[in-house]
Amino acid sequence: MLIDNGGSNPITGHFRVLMIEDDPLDARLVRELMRDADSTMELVHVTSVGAAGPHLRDATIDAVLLDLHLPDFSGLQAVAAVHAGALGQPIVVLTGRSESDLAVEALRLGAQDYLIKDALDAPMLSRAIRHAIERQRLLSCMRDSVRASSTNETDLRQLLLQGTEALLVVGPGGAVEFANVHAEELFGLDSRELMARPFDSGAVPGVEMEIDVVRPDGSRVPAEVRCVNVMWRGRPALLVSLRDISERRSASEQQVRFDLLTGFLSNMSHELRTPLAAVYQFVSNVRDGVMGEVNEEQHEHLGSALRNVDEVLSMVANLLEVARAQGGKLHVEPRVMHLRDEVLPVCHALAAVAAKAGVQCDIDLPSSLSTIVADPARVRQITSNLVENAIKFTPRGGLISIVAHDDQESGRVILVVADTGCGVPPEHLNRIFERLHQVPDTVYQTRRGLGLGLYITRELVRGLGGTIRVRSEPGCGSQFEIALPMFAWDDVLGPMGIPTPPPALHALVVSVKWSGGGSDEPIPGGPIAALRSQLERVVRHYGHAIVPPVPAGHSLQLGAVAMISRRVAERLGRSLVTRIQADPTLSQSGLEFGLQVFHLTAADRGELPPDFSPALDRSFKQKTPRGSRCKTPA
Amino acid sequence: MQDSSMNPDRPESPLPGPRKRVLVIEDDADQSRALTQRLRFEGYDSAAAADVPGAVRMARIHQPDLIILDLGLPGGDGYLVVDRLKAMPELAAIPILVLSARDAAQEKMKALEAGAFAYFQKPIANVALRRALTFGMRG
Repeated sequence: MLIDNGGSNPITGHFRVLMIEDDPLDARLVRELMRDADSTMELVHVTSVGAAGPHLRDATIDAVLLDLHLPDFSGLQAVAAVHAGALGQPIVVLTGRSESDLAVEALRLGAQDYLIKDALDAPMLSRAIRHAIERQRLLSCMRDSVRASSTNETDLRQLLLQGTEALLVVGPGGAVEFANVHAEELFGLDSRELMARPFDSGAVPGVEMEIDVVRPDGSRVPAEVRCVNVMWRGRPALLVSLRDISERRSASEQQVRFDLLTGFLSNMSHELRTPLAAVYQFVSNVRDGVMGEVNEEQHEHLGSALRNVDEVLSMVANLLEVARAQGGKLHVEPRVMHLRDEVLPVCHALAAVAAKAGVQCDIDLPSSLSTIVADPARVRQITSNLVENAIKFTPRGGLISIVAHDDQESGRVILVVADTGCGVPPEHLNRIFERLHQVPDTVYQTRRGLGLGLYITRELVRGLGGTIRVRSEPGCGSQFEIALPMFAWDDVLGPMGIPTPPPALHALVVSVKWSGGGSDEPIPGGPIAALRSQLERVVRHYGHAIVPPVPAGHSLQLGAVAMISRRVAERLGRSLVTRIQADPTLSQSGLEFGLQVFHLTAADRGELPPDFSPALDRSFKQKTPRGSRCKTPA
Repeated sequence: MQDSSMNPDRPESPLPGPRKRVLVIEDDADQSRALTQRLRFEGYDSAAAADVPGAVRMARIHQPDLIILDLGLPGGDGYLVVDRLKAMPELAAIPILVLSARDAAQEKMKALEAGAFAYFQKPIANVALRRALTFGMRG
C-alpha cells in the first residue's frame, strides 16, 4: 500500500515537525526514533499547548505530534486547542495503549492519525507523519480548487494521480467516476471494474470513518475513509480517500491477545513460584546444615538441585518478560546511575562461574565513565544475559572481555562484551535477537534455555533508549556492543523550561498536574497554593534550594530541588502524596491529579541494600498523568 | 537467587544480645515450615500464622521485631493484615517485609505504599533474607 515514489514526490521532502510532549522520556523516545527513521525530519519540541502557540502559526512547521496529557490541556481539549491554533498543519496524536477510544475521538476532532506510544517504531512514525502531511496537502488543495470554482479537471486528475493513497471520485448515486492506482490495489480491482460498481461507504465530508474493504477474493482490509466535496466534470462529486489501516488495527487486536497471554503467564508464574519457593527453601536448609551436618558430596548434590531451581525460575521470569516485551510493557525505571556500579559486581560474580568452566574474564571498567540514564536492575540483567551467553558459547581456555568507554560524539556510554567462543554463522547473525531463535549447533548440544535471552536483552536495551550491536566471526568469537545514553541535565530539565542547575548530583523534580479546576493559576489560599507552600516549606526545612517553578496552566512544577539524600527525597515525595491523598480540601476540590516525580541521583547504592529501590521512585514513577490518577474527584 | 550456587551458605556469627523475634505469616504449610526453620538457624526466634485473624493475634502475643508477610491469605488479602497492624498503636511500628509470589512490577509499589519496608518475590534468596532482616531491624 505504501509506496515511495522517489525524489520527485513531496513525500520525500524535508519536514519540520512540532512535538508537543511534556514527558521527557517519551520525548526522547520520539526524538531517537525519528533520528533512526528519517534524517530529513527536523523536530521542534515544546512541552505544552501554550508554548506551541507561536510554532503552530509558523508556516515552516509541516506537522504536529501531539501528546494527549499536557500540563495545560488534556485529552480532546488538547486536540481541539491545537487544531484551532494551527495553520492547517496535520496533527498526529500520541496516545497510550489503553486509549484507543480517545484516539478515535481525536480523529473526529480533526487529528489526521494516531500512534500508540508503546508500540511505536521508527518506520511507523516516519510513515505516519509523511502520510498525514501528504493527505492534508491533498485535501486542502481540493478544497481550494472547489472554492475557486475553476476546477480544471486535468489539474485535479493530475493531483489524484500523484497521491500516494487510494482515491476515488464518486459521483451522484455512488457511481465511481475515477480511481487511482492505489485504489485499484486496495480494492483488488482495476479501475474499469471499480467504475462498474457503485461505491457507497456512507462517507460524509468532514466525518471520518472506518470501513472494511472487501476484495474479490473475499479478504477484508480495514480502511479509514475521509471525503471532500469537489466538482468533477461540471457536477458536484465526492473525492474519497481511503487509507489501509490494517497495521493500526492489527496492533490493537494484538494488544488484546497480549493482554490475555500476559495474564496467563503472570498467573502461571505465580503458581510455579509458590512450590519452587518451597523447594528452594527446603533444599537450601538441608544443604546449609539446618537439619544437621551434610557431607561434601551431599552438599554438592543439593547445590546442583538449587542451581536447577534457579534455572527454572529464570525461565519462568523470562517467559513473562517476553510476553511483556511483545506487548510493549517491559517495565523500566530509568534514573541517573553509574554503569560501573551495576556491571562490575555482576561481572565479578560471573567471572567465578566462568573460571569453573575454564574461561577467563578480563574486566576493564574505568571509574571515570560518564553517568548514564538507565535502570540499574535492567543494566544488571542485560550484563548478566550477555556474559552468561558468552560463557555458554566459549570453550575451555577461552577469554571473555568486558570493557566500557565513553563515546562523547554520540553522547553514549559503550559496554562491550567480547568472547573467543564459537561465534555466530553470518546467516544467523541478524536473527539472533529474534524471539526463540537459536543457532543450531553440533558442538554445544546441551541445554541452552528457551532462546529468549538475547531477545529480552535487546528489548531492554531499546526500552532504555540504547542500542545493541553484534559482530561475530565463526570460530573466532562474538562481540556484543551496547550503547546507553549519557545523562545530561538539559535532557530532563530543558523541556520543562528549568535552567540547568549547578552540577549537584542529587535532584528531585516534582510536578503536579491537575485538571478540572478551571483556573490556570493556583487561587491564593486555595488547595494548590497550599500544597505548593507546604512543599516549599518541607524543602527549605531540609536546607535545599528550589529552582523557580515554571508558570504553566494547570500545573505546579516545583522544579529541580538539590537534595542531599535519598531519604530526604523519599520523605518529600511521600509527604506530597500523603498530603494529596489525605487532604479533605483537595479531595473536595474537584481537581484531578497526576503526579510525576523524577528522582535524579548519582549516589552510591550503598545507602540501601540492592533489592530496595527507594519507595520514591517506585511509588510515583507510575503516577505519571498518563498512568494513574492520584486522586479522582469524589 | 545468585547466592544459592556461588557461596556456600553459612550464617554469619550469631547475633549479639537477646534473640530477635520474627513472625511469619504464610498459609502454605511447607513454606511456613521451611522459612521458620531457616529463621531459627539464622539466629532468630520465629513464630508463624496462617491467616488474617491469626496474624493479628500472634502479633499481639509475640510483639515481633519484624513480620514476613505473604499476600494471598485465606480470609483476606495480606494488605488487610498491614491495615490492621498499622491501626494498632502498639503494633504499628513493626517493620513488615512482604514476600509474595506475585509479580514485583505490579505489587512492589503497592506493598511499599501500604507501609511495608520491602517487597521480595518468592523465593527470597537466603543472602537477601539475611540482609533484609538486618536492614528491617536496624531501628
